[in-house]
Amino acid sequence: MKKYIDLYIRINSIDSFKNVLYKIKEFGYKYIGFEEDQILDKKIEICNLYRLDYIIRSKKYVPKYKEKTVYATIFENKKESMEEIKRYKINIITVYLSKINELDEEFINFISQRRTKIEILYSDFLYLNYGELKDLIPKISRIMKYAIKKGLSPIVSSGIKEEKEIRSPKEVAAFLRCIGIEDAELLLDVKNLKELFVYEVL
Amino acid sequence: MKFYKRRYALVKFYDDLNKEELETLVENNFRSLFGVIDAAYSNIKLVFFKPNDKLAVFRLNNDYLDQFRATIFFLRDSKIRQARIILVSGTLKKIKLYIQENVKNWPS
Repeated sequence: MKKYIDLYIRINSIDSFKNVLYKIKEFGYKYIGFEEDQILDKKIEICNLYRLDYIIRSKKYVPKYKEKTVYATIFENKKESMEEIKRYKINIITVYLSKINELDEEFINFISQRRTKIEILYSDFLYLNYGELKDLIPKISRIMKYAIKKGLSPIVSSGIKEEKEIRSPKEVAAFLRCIGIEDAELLLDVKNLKELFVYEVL
Repeated sequence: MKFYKRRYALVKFYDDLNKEELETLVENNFRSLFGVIDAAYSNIKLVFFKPNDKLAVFRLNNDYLDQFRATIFFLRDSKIRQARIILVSGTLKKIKLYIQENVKNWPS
């Protein structure tokens, strides 16, 4: 049985987080990710309660828990992000759809040398109208195919802020197949994390 | 005479919708995403509807299963709607068996 991942849950209240995790499990995800914040211990407790595996996304250079922690950042613009990746070991760079036009082959080549994975959030798609979708889909498809060609399978996470944004992994994979990404289910599988650098103690 | 393989999809929806609203919602979303010609060939039809359990069974052309799933992914009208496909089967019998085993008060 496939173990589906959703590495970015953007919820910062305990009650909402509990409800979302219940639903995430119902939708078929087994592995989740969330940011390191003030309620991190509570979040871990809830994950253990629902028997969900997790990773912690940290922005700090010295994270609270060294195990299960990855260094994740947000793509702002090409130049700044390249500088950041040069200076720090970044495992995941999250690209919002509003910034997707700034990605190009040069940036993908650069991050593929440093084994930094691109992450795209599917909740962003839900708020686009059909005109915006029509413009963005070819670009996203091209970027994802190029990243896969470079041996850098992108991560597709939810990036949910509300419970109603959760979608089943099979539906997400079907959408990706519709836009021309073959083996889309592999991008949502836990096997996609095997190359991910986990925080190492120096 | 049918010229395509059928699939039945058991869909769980999470909003308060009646049968017509759900059928229209799925049809409109499919047409907006994939166009009229694909909508015509997909032969999507709502065959069972249980509002109390928020379950529906759709019949569709097997070749358009991915498009149907993508439609469920994008389901929306004036606001975002949430649904998921629980089971896809080639026969209605398996769907009914699943419902009878997992959902209470479903007529046998």
